[in-house]
Amino acid sequence: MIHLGIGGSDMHNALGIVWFVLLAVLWIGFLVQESFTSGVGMIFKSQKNELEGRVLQMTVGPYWDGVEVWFITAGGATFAAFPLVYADMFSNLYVALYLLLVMFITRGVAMELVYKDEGKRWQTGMSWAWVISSYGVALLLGVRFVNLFMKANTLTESSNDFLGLLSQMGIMGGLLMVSIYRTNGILWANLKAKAAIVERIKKQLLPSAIISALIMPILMMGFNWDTNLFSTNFESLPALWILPVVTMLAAITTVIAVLKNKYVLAFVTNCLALALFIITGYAGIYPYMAPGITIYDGMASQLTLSIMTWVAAFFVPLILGYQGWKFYRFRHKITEGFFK
Amino acid sequence: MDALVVILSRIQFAFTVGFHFLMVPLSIGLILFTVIFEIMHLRTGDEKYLKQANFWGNLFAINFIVGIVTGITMEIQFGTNWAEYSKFMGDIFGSPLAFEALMAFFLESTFAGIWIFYRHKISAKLRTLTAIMIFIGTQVSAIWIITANGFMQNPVGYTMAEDGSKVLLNDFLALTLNPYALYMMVHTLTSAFLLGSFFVLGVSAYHLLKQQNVEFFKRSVKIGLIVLLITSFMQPMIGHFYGQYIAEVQPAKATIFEVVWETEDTVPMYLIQIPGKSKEDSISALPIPFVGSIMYTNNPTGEIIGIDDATADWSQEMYDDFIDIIPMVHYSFRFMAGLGIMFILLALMGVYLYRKDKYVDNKWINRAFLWLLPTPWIAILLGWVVAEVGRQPWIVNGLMLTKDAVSSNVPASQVVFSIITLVIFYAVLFLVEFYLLLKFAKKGPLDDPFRNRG
Repeated sequence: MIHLGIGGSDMHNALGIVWFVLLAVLWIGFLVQESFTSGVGMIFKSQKNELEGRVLQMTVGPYWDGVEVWFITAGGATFAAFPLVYADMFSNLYVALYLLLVMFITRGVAMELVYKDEGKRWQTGMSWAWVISSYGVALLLGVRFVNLFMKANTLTESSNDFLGLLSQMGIMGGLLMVSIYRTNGILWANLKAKAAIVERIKKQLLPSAIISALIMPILMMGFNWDTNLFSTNFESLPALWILPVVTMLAAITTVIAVLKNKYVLAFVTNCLALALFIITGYAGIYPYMAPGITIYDGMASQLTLSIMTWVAAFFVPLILGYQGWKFYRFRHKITEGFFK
Repeated sequence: MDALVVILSRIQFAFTVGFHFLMVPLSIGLILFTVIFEIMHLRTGDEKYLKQANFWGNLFAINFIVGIVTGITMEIQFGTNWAEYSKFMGDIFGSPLAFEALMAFFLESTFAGIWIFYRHKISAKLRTLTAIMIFIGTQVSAIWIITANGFMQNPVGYTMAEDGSKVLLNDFLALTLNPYALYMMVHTLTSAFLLGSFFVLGVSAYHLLKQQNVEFFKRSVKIGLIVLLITSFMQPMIGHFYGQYIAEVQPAKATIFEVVWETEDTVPMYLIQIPGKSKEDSISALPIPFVGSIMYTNNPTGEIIGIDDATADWSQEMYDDFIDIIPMVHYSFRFMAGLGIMFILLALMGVYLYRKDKYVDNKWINRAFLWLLPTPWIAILLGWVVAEVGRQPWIVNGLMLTKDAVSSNVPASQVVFSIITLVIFYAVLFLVEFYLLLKFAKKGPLDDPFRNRG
């Protein structure tokens, strides 16, 4: 990709930055909420019977589709606001994206349909499909975002190389996502349901919380030594160093909160750790969005960006309103009695 | 561009969008019926309508799941396989997709979650509101995706970038009010409602033939026949004006409907048409005078642009590509139109028998609706072939050729990988959906909401 170094008028550039930030918000919103769905999926086989399984299904079933729309919106908004970034990013992630797609589809179908048939083989098959695809989703998302943060501001061209994504750092990112998601799945189930199954799975919290807290600093050091992530923006604005520090602290606080049985606090800090990890990455790569492509190279026309801004300004509050209403309206904890 | 990548990417796109589109019209159709029965239940408080809403709403829910997950494929595919297209079109094509997500997907997914998992736990009012929200979501979704497709058929509201590398949005209102998209939208949504009514009649027929749940399915049949009657009559009327508009903006595609090789007036309609590579190579027989001209121009002696003029400024390669698709598009068009006539006849027969109170016991009409159940899907897929294959060799009419639109950095091996993966995977998905729809359709109205729930 030729670095054009161009931009538009001040207004045009400002809109480009607005959409860079909005996209980061969309991705964070997706990744955090996705941790509920995939996380519960990972521990789904802990259930001992259909009733327990239904309790777990019910904690995420009504919401997962709404979460997936965050992913679709982030993709669509990238297409609309940064066509060049969308084309470059998606075609270079070809194999990874199709694997992610298969995992997404498997996950949604398995979770929704697991109890649509009484057959034991059906239910076992669907359960395992849900478990495996949940790990797959988390792993691929972790690999993808760490690679973005490693390479976006390196001024090299991106390449279409699936195995190249699976560097030590990439895999470490995948594992981080898995451990954060697993922790969050259990904590989410605890928020949404009150049943014996939830009490049992809480015992699995500590190992995954500790793994997250251990991987987080390793990844941050890796970014520091092997990549440019912390070179440009972090040097010109040292205050940014607070981001990786707070991220690591949040991961550690999750471990402490779990040890003290403060599960709501653990949920909040674990979500924060994930969100801050992504914010740290975006703060580092700004204004790059893909290897060699900045906001200003990739952005759509000023007219398109301003129309999108108006539409988002109207619809995003509306969406947050009715999704918030839904969480509130159905806030009562699921118990086994719900199904009787 | 690598010709192999082009053809593989086209096959994959056709396969994935075709598969996705098996579910989409059924979702749109069934949520209409669910809404109708929810409203009837809300207004009368009668349990029998609640049972209807539960039965058809459960089938909707199963189908909806497979529909939404296979929709994700479409969105990533523009970037993965059609990167050059995305770069060229992003400024125009991206925002309708983003708006579809913001205005439609969030709405339908949020409320579908309530419908699927909580419908047995909420009030009649909230159930009705939920179903209506999903219905609105499906409609808005159709509007935006067809707006995006409308631009590919009839580009409006754009300017070309100074270096000619991409199109830029110029007039958003023109983009959203594209007449092509409006015709296409009414045509597509009507076909989805028609398919929904056919599905309701087909499933009802299964039970009526077995003489089980007769009272229940008689009620479904009544609404099904009303919807089928309205939609089957609307379709040819919409199609007529839609076709004439196509003749205006896509003259090449329009020549294929009646295979008009040379521009001429007072064109008949040939009942038998076997298009070949040239006029001499083609067979036309059994002419009905004036009908061709009337179809295109509402005037028995009207002039129709022929292939010669419609493709006058095309290169030889483009012309050859176009000639290759003529038989496929032509037969698809005729078969679709034929099915449309069949739908009208079935609707008339059904309504007649119902009015005479003979429908329930009439084996033939029920066998017809049961065995012809796949036909609305076939009609829809054929119509889609006419719209999309008929546009070739263009991907964006007059602006970009399909062969220039694929990703330049994706090797054929990767496309082979994704096609094989998707074919195997979709086959499993199809079996899962088919098994469940069949199972619940045959089971009839459920008394046990526990089993009926997600």
